[in-house]
Amino acid sequence: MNTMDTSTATHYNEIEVQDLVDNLKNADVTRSLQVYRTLGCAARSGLSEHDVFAHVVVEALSLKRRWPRDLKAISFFIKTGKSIISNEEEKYSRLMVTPSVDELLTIDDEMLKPTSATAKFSHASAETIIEHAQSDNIISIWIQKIQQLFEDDPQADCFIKQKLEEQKKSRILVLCEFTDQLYRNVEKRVKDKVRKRFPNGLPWWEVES
Amino acid sequence: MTLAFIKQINEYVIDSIIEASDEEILACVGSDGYPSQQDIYQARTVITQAIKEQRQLRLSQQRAAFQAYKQEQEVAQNAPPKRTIPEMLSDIVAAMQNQDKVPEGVILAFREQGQGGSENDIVEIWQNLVELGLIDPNDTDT
Repeated sequence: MNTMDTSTATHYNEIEVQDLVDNLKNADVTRSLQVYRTLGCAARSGLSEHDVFAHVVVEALSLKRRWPRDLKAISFFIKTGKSIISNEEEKYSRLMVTPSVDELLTIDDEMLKPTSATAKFSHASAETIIEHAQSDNIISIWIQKIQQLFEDDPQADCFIKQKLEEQKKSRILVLCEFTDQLYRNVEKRVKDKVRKRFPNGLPWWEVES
Repeated sequence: MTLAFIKQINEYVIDSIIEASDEEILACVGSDGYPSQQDIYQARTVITQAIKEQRQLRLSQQRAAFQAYKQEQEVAQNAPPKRTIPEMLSDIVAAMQNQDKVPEGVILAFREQGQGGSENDIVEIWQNLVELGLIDPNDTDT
């Protein structure tokens, strides 16, 4: 038995993948594009949601990314998209910080002075302190907005407060006096409401230090 | 610490997108923050084009593989036999002596063809007997 036989037992073959991709529902196309956007593909990797989608399609069809038989189409598209964004993000960040040889040759003395990146080894620059303060301020505003969403829902409000405190589910059940079923219901309400308020999520990558 | 909470909120948004019904998701198409009909059309075009290109690539790979196979066959057929002339003669004699398998007419025909006895004649007779299946070219026991 060769490896191809083994892998087609657990993964879709080329023809099956063509069929699955060709029959992708419009709802799943919409979900995929929306999720790639929510993952911050453009800001993190330089790829638009359409670029990520095209990468997923091509890598699925060429069998570069194998599609397990037990994985639904939307799960495959999101899992693969996340992986592509993550890989591209790594390359993208290297591209943003690595100077070219030409840049190094034309560097002048002024540019060799400590930057905010090197200054942190001694003391924080004024620039860094301001950036941190701004980031904290933005995050506080986001948190306020989220809390305001659940002002009229004491259960969801309690859930959010405990999540902010990074409490585990077992503690939240006790602190908010939830049953297991109620926890799931409240979590679902929170998920749906934050999606309706922030359909593309919150751009945490803009404030990540 | 709070950044982790914001990331968790984004995961909730993603979960909600996945868990929402098809009808609910399609109803959002074109509204603020959601993909438009044009976005869906563009994605569908990508799928159609990628499948077309994949099929063309597969076809050209199959053609190239078939071409390579044909060339290999031609080379194998035109390649000089790996047997020496005395070995071929030995093969021919052994085949002729196998009265049960060789029809009478064939033996006579080869006897006449072999009258000249040149090396080319021997090679030709050997190849003909191989084609008739009376000599196994890979049998090196003899």
